[in-house]
Amino acid sequence: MAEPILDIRDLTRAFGPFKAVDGVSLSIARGTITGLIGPNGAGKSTLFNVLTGELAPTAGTVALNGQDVTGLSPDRLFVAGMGRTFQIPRPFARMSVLENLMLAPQGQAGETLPSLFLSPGKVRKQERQLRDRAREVLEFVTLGALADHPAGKISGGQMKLLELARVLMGDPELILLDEPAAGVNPTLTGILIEKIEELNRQGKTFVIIEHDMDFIMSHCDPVIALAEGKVIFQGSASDAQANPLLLDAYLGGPVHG
Amino acid sequence: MIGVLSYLVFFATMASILAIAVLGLNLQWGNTGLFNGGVAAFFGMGAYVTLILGGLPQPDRLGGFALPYLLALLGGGAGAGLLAWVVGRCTLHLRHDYLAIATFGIAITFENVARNASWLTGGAQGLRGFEKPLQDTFGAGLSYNAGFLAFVLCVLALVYLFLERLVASPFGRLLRGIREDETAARSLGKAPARIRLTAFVTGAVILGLSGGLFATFYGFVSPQDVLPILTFQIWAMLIVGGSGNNLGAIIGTVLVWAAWTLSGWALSRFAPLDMQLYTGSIQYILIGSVIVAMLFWRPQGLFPERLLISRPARSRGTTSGQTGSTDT
Amino acid sequence: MTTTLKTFGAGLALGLSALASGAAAQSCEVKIGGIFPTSVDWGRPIAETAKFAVDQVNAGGGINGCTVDLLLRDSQSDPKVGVDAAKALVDLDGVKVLLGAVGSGVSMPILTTVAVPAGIPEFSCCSAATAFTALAEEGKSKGLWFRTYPTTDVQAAVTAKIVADQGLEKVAIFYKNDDWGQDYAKLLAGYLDQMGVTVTESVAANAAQPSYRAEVTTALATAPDGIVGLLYPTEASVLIREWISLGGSQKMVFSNSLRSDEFREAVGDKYLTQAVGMDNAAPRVASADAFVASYTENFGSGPNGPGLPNSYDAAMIAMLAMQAAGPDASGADIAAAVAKVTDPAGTPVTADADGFAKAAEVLSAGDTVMYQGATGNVVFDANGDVAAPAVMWKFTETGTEEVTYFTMEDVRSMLTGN
Repeated sequence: MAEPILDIRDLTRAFGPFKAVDGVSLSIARGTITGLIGPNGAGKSTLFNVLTGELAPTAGTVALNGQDVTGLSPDRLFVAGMGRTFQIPRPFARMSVLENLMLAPQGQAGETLPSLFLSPGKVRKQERQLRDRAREVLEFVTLGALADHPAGKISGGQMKLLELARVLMGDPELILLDEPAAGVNPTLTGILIEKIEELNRQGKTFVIIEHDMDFIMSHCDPVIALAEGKVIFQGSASDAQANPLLLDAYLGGPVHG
Repeated sequence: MIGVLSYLVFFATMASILAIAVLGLNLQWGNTGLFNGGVAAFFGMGAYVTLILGGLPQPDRLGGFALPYLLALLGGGAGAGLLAWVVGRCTLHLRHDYLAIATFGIAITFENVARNASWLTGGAQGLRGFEKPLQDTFGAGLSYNAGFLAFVLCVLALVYLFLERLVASPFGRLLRGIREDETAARSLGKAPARIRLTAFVTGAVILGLSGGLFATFYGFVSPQDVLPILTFQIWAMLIVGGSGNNLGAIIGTVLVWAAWTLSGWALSRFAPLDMQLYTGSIQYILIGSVIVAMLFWRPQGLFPERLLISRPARSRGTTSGQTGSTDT
Repeated sequence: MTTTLKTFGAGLALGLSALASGAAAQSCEVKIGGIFPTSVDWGRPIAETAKFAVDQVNAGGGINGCTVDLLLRDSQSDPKVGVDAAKALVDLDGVKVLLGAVGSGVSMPILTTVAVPAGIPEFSCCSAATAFTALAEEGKSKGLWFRTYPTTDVQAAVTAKIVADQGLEKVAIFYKNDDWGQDYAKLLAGYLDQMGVTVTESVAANAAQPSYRAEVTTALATAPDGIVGLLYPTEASVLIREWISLGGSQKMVFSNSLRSDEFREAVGDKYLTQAVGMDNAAPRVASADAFVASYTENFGSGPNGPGLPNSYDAAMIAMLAMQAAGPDASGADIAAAVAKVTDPAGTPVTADADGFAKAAEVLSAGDTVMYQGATGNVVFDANGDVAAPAVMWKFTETGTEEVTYFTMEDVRSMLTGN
């Protein structure tokens, strides 16, 4: 088996005596669309927040591409090759959709004051390239027509596409999606899935966190299930559907969507 | 009439100096979202450092290095920037309200230091000993004031162009991104702490330059010049003009400063003599009402921020033929 | 075309002359500018007192027959607001005299930025900073600065006189470490030096220390005959007790701030029998009493607030100088005329409407007057500073009592302006 893109060992995150994530060990295989499910309170949001650097782990390690990234801040994780979207979209609301995208790439000369004023030619050239690329990516996620709209004024589903596009501008190998289907109309969900699958074919690895069992079962493979902070299942989608533990966990907790 | 011209030159000079300060605050608050409650400290730092560097040697006091004017002015800006760097390292991680309180405390501390460190600042008596440059060339009257106004206007124009360039640049985009949603910006690989510190320090340098111009305009600065009311005035100008909009910041400054001064003049002119004793209080009420009215009816200011910098004028025509409907 | 223009021109000239004669037929007006912190509670009475002086002058016939119009502007205690107001008064209203401001931080930029460049005299009631004296000595106030409020220099000169009168030859000075204390100690050392009294050590005392042993030891090591304490009761109570307990001389001279029961009780009056102090005093002249009486009659209560007699005198002297300088005088003329109305050899005039009318008469005859004001016979020195009466006091078992009264003239003779 090839080296996993993301390797999680004994990861724990405690809030006082309560362990929201309790000794989780996981490997995310390169090139997969891995689904992460679990009932409310199973610890998947906490796990997600620890993986994206929003929360520091209490114990354990995380390796991205074999490199230890445990406890890195969100910005450094993005630079290291891990992008993420948010459950409730976080667009830069009063900036245009295009600007939202142009902000993302690293190493822009115009982002530091000295080079902004000392090498304006370089800045201009980069901006031109960025704009062209941002338009391409927007076309790809079908938001081309909204390039000049304020990002806060587009629909929730479009925001999810925008977040995906924004992440793509940074070209990360691994993309974590936080409930991409929640609150989105079926048409846009369809577009989103189509784009995810297309990107996956181009080599991107996805980890998708979802309440919606059907969504996970039909689009993700493999599937990982969490309950009470622990991994209770890890395997193919077809195995998952037949797993009694998983059904118990879901029937025991509040059923969602 | 020569008197009117003379006054207008004087008014325009002070308004321009204050406008530079408002531009500095606009970079911090309007563009970056940093609530600087200690404007007076950075303004004051620029004022004091400029006079210490550029003034004549004084007995019983450190300072009075008689540096060339421009050098002293730059030193004032640098002093304010240094203060901002130190303050920023300690406080920029704070939430808005706490940052406001912390910077307000800095301003109070600064005023107290200025009042008490008389070996450096002249204490409560203030700092004098600055000789206005080129007085031999321009004399002391209107022509000198006009020349100084031209210089201040040049500085204002430079600061304005610098900030306009900054706002329209990737750096400005980044500032707005961090202001809009810091978490999202971090998730895209941006380090808000460094960017915010850069903006905070840059804004403080501009505030310091303004303070330096102020102190050299009077040839004098005292703790009385750096009271919290200054912070309030600068904020009022920014809010009225429109935070986030540099042109609005300048126009807001002129309007508020005109309201502040001309209302006093008009009341002294037209109010009955017995009422004149109360003009100060009437003025406070008038100005306070204007600001409250602004906050109620036009909180974005007279000239709101132009948000979408990359509007179609600058974009390619690839989206023509598609409609920009939204399906919310 | 030409005819039309001519007719128009003639009409215009006619109209203008009609206007001019109309204006002359009405009573004329003289404007003076006043910049006071009228929006501050203690500032308004100062402005009201200046206006009271203007009312008195108008009752006495006005300046050169013209009604005085006092244009009051509020400085809001904000230097830039005050400076702008002063500039507007000079440029837009054409005033030739500025009254104010109160705080030194406002008066100073008005002087340097508005008054001196425009050649307009500034009469302040209340700005006490010694920086004005320094500015005048450098020749930068151009003789346009006058204030009716005595500076720390007065306190220092009187204190030095008291020290010398006590027969002390070597003293150590303890001073409160603030702008007042620093200024005072420096000026006092200068006066003592002139009088041949040696200052063995000048020791700064910071406020609110639990002990001043280090400061006391430093002074004690220089073996002075006595000490001067320019302190506030809080730190002096501790410091002087330590000084005495370590065997320091009980010959002590204190600033007016220590004329307090709190201090006397903290140290114990049996240790203070050889101690004396200086204090400012109200002038014991008829003109001061007359001011109190007329003020009380006008306002319904006495002039109880800082700077009120000083404000009255500043306004009165400014208006007398305008009268002396004649109509259409420039600011510099008015400043130069101040000497004519504060001439100790001149005809005495009282500080009221009658006094002003009398002064106008005397001045028009080419003579000089001596203005007897609310703060006494005001005489400015070359720097625009005034002297003030003072007293020497000592402690008793129940409080303090005055030993010697120094009139304004006595004090003036002590000032050397060092």
